[in-house]
Amino acid sequence: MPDATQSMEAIEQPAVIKRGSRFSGYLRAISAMVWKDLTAELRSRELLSAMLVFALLVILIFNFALELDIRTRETVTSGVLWVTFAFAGTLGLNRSMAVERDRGCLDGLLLVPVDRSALYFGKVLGNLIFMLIVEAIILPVYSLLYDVNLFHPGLMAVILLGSVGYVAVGTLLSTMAVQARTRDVLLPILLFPVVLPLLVAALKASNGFLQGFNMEEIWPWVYLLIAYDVIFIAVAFMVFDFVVEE
Amino acid sequence: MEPIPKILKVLNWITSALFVVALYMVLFFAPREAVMGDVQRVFYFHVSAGWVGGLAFLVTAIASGVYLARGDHRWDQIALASVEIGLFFTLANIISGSIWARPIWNTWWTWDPRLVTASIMELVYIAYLLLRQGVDDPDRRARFGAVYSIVGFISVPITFLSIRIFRTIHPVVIGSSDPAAMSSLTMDPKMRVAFFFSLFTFTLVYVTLLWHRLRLQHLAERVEQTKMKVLSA
Amino acid sequence: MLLQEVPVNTFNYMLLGFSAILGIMALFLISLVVRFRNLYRDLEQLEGNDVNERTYTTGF
Repeated sequence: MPDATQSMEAIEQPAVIKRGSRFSGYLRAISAMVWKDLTAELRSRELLSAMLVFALLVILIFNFALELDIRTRETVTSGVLWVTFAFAGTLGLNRSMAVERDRGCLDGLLLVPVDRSALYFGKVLGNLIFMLIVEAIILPVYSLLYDVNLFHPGLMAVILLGSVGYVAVGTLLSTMAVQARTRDVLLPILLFPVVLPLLVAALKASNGFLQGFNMEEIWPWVYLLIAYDVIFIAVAFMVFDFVVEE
Repeated sequence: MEPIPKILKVLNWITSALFVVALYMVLFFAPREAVMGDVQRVFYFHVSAGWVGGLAFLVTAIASGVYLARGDHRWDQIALASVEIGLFFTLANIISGSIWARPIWNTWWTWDPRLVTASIMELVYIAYLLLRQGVDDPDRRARFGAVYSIVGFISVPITFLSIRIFRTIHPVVIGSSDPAAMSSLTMDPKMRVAFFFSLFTFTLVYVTLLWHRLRLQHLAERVEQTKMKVLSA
Repeated sequence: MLLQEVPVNTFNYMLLGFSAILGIMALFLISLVVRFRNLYRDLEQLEGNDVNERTYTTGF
């Protein structure tokens, strides 16, 4: 009931504060979405465990496919990491949206009288948190396995920027993909060609930090990452309504 | 189906005639390039096909935007028709480029920004068709298609930029936006005439094909409606 | 390469290039024609059925 009393108060307040409270209502809707995803995951743990096991398997396969000896390791580490993140990411995105759809959550959420974009940002934040958790586990495991030092603040920033863009586009596209008849195969096909520039930029920037390149060589990639993030968050914000209509 | 409108009939003839003239100009009127020889003649149609591909996807993105804004079904039909044409012409562009590259760069394929971007673009719009195919509800299919075509179209220039930064050391001039500079060839006046003539002709070919493709769409819908009527009767 | 007086003979590649472009365009045209023809056939069949059904019911 606290919500009801708050909205009653909001009605009685002058207009300026009312707008403020509407904004805080927006933020509350987002945090409620995130909270719902996190508690559900805390109970079942099926999403994170699947992503993690899958990511570890991908790294394992890379180990044999590329024969990650000391010399090749230097140059391919960022590539291996980003391919792993991207693959594990699609798995997570697909699952997280499929859950909404299968349990009829999506229909319920659409009934909530809140701007649809709040649903989008809530879902993006939830997915981002899952992705960052997976990355936070994969990175130390990788550096342990291959004795590479991955703890570089620049690399962390790049991974954050890359994950934000990946999840921003991925959430939009997976919302469409899970509503299709071919939902099992659709997401990677839709996502990868669109997300390619982001992956290229993230990969090159990470590689630059890992190999200790000059910042002049890294900045273009970082700018590209930021531009990608901003552009696609804006686009997704504008078109998300059409993806969840009805 | 109502008979082909008169304007379209005229357009058919004009386009066909211009295409023959363009073929003549490219093959006989334009002089042989001094360094690359005859294969350079592919250039005129190669660039024109690429231009039509880009134009078609631009039309798709715009039509999709209008569809989302207004909800008018016809704009979605334009988007879909244009994607199909764009896919064919982009494919023609990629393959002819590859054939041209073989004797000149001595390889079928290089990871050149234009090449890779064209291929990624092709993949984006194949994904677009797969998405549409996977959605049964017509209204939702149109909305999803529109959203994806907009997202895809915005990603294309970013892809180009990323690969261009990736490959800053490429043998040919890639800094210039002028398509003629692509092969670092200097066009003499006759070549220029042939080039712009084929660009114009291909644009007309695009318009004609789009029109026919839209008529096909109408016919398909009419068949669908008749089918429903027969089944429910 | 620039010093070369006679251009390289790339005539066959030119032929290949043009046949690729024209072939793909022809492919699109053919696909249009085939789809048109199939749809017209469907329509004829359907409307034939439609007409038959109607004559049948009215005749009854």
